[in-house]
Amino acid sequence: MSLKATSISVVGASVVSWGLAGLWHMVIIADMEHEAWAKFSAVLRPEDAMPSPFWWMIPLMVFYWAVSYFVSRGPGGVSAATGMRTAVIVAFVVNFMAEFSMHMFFNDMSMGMSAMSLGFELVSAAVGGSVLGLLYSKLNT
Amino acid sequence: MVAGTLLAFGIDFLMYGVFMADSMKEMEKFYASVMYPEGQRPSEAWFIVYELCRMLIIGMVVLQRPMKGLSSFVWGFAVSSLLTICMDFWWMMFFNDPNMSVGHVAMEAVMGGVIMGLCAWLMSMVYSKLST
Repeated sequence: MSLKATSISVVGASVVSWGLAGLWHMVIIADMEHEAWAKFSAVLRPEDAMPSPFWWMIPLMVFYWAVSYFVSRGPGGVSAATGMRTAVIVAFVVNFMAEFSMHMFFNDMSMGMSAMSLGFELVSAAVGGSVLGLLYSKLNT
Repeated sequence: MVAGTLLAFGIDFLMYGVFMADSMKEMEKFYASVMYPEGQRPSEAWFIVYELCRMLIIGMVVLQRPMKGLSSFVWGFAVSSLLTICMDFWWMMFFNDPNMSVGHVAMEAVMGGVIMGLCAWLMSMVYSKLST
C-alpha cells in the first residue's frame, strides 16, 4: 500500500465529492433543503454562524481513507470498479444509519428528503470511489 | 454479525437507558421542539437496525482479513471512534447544541470504541469457531 498513492487518491476523491456536495446542496436542492430544515431553526446554528463549507472536506477525507483501506485489502485489486463498489456499499451503510437514527427521534424529518439525500450520497460515492480507484491504480505502480 | 449486534444493543441499552438516562433527558430538553413527544417515539427495538449497520462496517474490517484477539478489538475501537467523531463533527457543524463539546465527543468516541471493540472481538471469536 503506497502512502503517496493513498494520499493523492483520497484527496482527489474528496475534492470531487466536495464539489458534487456543493452543487447538490447549494444549487440543485438549496430551496427544498431550506424549507425542510426551517422546522429545525430552534436547534440549528443561525445561517451566518455556520462554519465554512471547507470543513466538510474533513469527514469526506476520513470516509475515502476508510474506503481506500477496504478496497486495497478486498478481493479484486484496486480499480475504478472496485473503488466505486466499495464506496457505494460504505456510503449506503453510513448514510442509512444516520438518516435512520434521525427519523427515530425527530418528528419533522421528511422521508422524501431522506431518500433524495441517500440517493445523492450514493451517486457521489460512486463518482468519488471511481476517482479513488482510478488514481490509486495509476499511481501505485 | 448477529452476536455482535445483540451485544452492542444490550450494552447501548444499559448505557443510554440506565447509566446515562439523566444526561440524555438533559440533552432532550434542547431538542424538545423537534422531537417526537414521549410516548409517541418508535420502539427502542428499532435500534437493532442501527447496531446491525455498525456491525456491517466493523465486520468489513475485522472479518475480511480475518483478525483475532486483541487486533480485532483495536480495529473495532479505531473504526468506531472514527465513525463517531465524523458523525459528531457533522452534528457540531450544523446544530447549535450546547451539550456538544470536544470533551463530550471524546467521551463518546472512547465509550463507543470500547463497545465496538468488544463486539469486534466477539464477532472474530464466533467467526473463527464457525468457519472451521
